[in-house]
Amino acid sequence: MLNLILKDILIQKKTLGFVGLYILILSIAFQSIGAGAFIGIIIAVTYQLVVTAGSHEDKAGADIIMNSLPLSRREIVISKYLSVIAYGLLAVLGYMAFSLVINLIPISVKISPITPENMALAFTGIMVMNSIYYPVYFKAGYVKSRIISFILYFVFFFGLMALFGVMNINGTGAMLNTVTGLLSGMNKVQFFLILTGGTLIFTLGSCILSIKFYNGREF
Amino acid sequence: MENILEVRNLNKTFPDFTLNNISFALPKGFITGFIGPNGSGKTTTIKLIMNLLKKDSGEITVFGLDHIRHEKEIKNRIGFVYDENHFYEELTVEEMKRIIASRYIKWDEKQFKSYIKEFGLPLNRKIKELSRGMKVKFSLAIALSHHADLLIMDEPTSGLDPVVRSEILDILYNVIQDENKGVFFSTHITSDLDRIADYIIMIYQGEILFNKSKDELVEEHSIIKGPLCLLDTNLRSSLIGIRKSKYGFEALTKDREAANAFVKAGAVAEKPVLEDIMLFYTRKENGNA
Repeated sequence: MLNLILKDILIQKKTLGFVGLYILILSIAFQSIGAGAFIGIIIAVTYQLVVTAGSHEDKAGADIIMNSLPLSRREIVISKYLSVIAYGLLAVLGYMAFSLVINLIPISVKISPITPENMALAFTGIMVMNSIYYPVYFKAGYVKSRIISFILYFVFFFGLMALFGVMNINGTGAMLNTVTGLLSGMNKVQFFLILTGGTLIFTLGSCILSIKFYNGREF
Repeated sequence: MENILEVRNLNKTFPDFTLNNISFALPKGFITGFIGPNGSGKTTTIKLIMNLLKKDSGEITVFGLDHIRHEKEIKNRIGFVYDENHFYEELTVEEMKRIIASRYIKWDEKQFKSYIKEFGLPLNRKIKELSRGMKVKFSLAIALSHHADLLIMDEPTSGLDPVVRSEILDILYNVIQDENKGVFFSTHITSDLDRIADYIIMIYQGEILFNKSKDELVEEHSIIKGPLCLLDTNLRSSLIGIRKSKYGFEALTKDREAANAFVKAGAVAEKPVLEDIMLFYTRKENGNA
């Protein structure tokens, strides 16, 4: 399984080289939305990596070779979901490295802080987004599912931006408090448990559906 | 004789093509050629064996095991070479090998290195920078480096120059010296099989026309060449695929008595090669029309 995740990263070595530049552009573009910038950037970078991996798989006709190896279709599907987490972590690492560089050089780019709350929301965002996308990807293949991934990206990305705009949030604590405040009588721990549990159940359901679809695919 | 692969009553229907109830078996220790013109069902059959396509009905067993229920176990013992490159173009030979090698229980790195050296493959070069011949050699090195008992090859030599083709055939010939292994070699370049195949299965329009030893096949068929007037006799019904010109006709027959009768009547009988057999069988309808 680990090798399949490493494969997903390895096939887009070139794209990884551009992640830093991508984060810089997005950081400048999202300065006005404060804490939401981090979440938006993680979603954007992960989306890019998911799409690029799909494009490389499609170009190589990799389904044929992967399904000719001693490898179950279930393993192939599960590895894709785990790769999303790996992409998210890579995006966070890239963001951290970028923040470090920005702090060292005299450039006035406002860096949105990385907090546990931000991380939880960013990973919820990428998992939910890709849990909607992957069943379509495994059912229809990369080319036919491209439009869905594009729509999802815009819905999640600009949806979040709009949400943060409405909430008029500047600090991370304020953001979480606003969100948790909506769920009356709920503390942070409860909120995160519900968020994580909900995401996990949603992802699991999506993964089961993807396995079912992929088992029926022909190459 | 033990069979390494058995296909029984296999059916698969597409909107424009049907694989119609095909059955055949591959004996262990031999190279079996799978011939037929393009679009006759060779790749479909191979994809069904590899479970890349879902069969409508029928049974496929490899090493005596159901190809779906024991899929992983079977694929650990199969080496495959396809007609197209399905490797990630951006990866190097070494990186691609690492991804694939991790899947096989019996991966033999020493063996792989030895093939890489023999084939002159540069480990650090990207797949997209390899020539078609090198890509096939890389596929072959992978297929031969995990002690596979069955090699499945779908048009591996198409588009290769004669030197590379010859090298690949020599390797296959060496592989099959181990009588526990089997090779299923699909091609429309029948001259490759003239050199190395033991058995020939011919598929045409989704149906198996014959499954025989190559020697038996060549022995039982004759090419008949003669004047057109001989076609007016009742011997014509014994001919398979007739090619006419203003100088005479050429046809295939598997009727020994008819061949002798044609010779007595002034025709010439010659031994066919596999290409003749394939061409005349696929020309059958037009020739007899």
